Amino acid sequence: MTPVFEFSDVRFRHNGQSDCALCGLTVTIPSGEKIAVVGRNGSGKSTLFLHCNGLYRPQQGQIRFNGEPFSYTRSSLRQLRQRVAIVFQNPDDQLFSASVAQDISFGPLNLGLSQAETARRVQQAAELCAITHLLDRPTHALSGGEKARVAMAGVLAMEPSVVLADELLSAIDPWARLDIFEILQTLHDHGTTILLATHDLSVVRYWATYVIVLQHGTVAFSGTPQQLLHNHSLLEATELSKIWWTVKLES
Amino acid sequence: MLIDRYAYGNRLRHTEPALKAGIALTVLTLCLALDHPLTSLWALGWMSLLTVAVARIPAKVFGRILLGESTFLALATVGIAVTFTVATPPEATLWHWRLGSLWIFGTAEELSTALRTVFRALGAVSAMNFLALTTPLVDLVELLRRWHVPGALIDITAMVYRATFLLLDNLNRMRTAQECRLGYATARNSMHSAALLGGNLFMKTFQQGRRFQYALDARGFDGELRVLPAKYQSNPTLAMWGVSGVIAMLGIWRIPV
Ligand SMILES: Nc1ncnc2c1ncn2[C@@H]1O[C@H](COP(=O)(O)OP(=O)(O)O)[C@@H](O)[C@H]1O
Ligand SMILES: [Mg+2]
Repeated sequence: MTPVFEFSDVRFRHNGQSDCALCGLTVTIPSGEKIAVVGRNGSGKSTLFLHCNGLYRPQQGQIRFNGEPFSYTRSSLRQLRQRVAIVFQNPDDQLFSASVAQDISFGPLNLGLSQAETARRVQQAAELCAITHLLDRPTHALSGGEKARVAMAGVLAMEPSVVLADELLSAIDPWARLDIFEILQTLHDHGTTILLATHDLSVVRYWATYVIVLQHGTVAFSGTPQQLLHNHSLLEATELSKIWWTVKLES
Repeated sequence: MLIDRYAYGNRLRHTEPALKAGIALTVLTLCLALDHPLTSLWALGWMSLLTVAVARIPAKVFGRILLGESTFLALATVGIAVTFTVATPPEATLWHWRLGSLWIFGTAEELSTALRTVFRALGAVSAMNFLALTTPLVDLVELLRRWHVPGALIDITAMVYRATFLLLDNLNRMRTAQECRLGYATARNSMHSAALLGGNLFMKTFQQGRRFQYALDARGFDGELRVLPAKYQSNPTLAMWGVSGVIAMLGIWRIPV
């Protein structure tokens, strides 16, 4: 199967920074998997995600989507963003509309869908994310977990084939987290590729089917969770063993 | 924000906003155009009744908002009712007060002008209160869209509304954080803390703006914030109340004062 993304030697440095955020990053991201992207703060997870739907453009190197090199024209970006969606780390950055239903309708309408089709998609996404009772609410009168689910619905209404979730889990409680995992599982069952940036070992161990470890803007490891969790020297080298000490790493 | 909370939770929330705006704007215009103290007084009572009895906004809340506005209006009209002079005042003063060679006085005519102005303004303001307390900004924006107000203007209004809440959120969070570390313990460090807060708030808001832009772009933003129109219910009862109130205003206007 063609991988969704292929990064080859991608370099990117933020304006005014002396260090690179992505420093010759090369990775192949398989399609249809539940992928955990792990790495310390500043290792380049968010920067990687923003490259995946063309919000950032590599200063060097190349990215392919479904085997095709990225093109940054208006119409190709539009197509790309229809298929690759990002749920941002802080839902407050994403929710702009005064009402939940209207916020969710924003993406589908931008795809040029009719109002009737958009209304159908809003309803469907709301049902999937269990927020139908919130559709009428203003977006500023929601709890953290509700905001996360609304942000998720806003992205799912575009029916993307790849969903990138950037540390979505860090700000919400474990119960709200379960809701999110349920949504992600439904997406996975429908063949959606999911990338989740996380620090949580249990996500890597029990949820992910593929893991990418980032370190200083490069890929330190990519492979299955079993391969990672049995690779002692790598866990030491990436300092993951330090934070995952509570869980017995070897079976 | 108080007003926003009631706008979302009142009995007229789902009523067609054009009807509510229509009533409010008609009453407002009549108050200003007719300039008759009794019609203004009637408008004040009528709009209060619609807000409290029909929309079920707690009388206490409505009263508090109106009290704030009246205080402001009263202060503003003191200038009309009171005159300062160093010359001797005219004969027909209603009251006067002397401070050396300075005379402070008011005439019956001035007082009546001042009262008229206050009533007129209160009538107008109560109509706006009715609209603000029963209709969330989303619906007003929706209404502007239907009235073919330019799209860019509407988008800006909607974004400013959203940004206001984010800004207040940030402000509260940062202020609390400063307060926890005794940032406002003395007058001197209060000033210092407030200055820091202002600077940081600016930076934070700026960064937030950029993240907003990314999030919009990620969902295919192309310069226009398109969202689904909301669905509203018609409300014949309110329409009847509105029409009879306006007819009564015109009737009262015939009473000479
Ligand atoms: N907007 C920005 N401006 C300047 N530097 C940035 C910006 N965003 C990220 N960086 C820098 O890029 C590097 C990678 O950051 P990021 O991709 O956000 O990492 P992560 O998401 O893994 O925490 C960091 O060194 C960070 O300081
Ligand atoms: Mg990040």
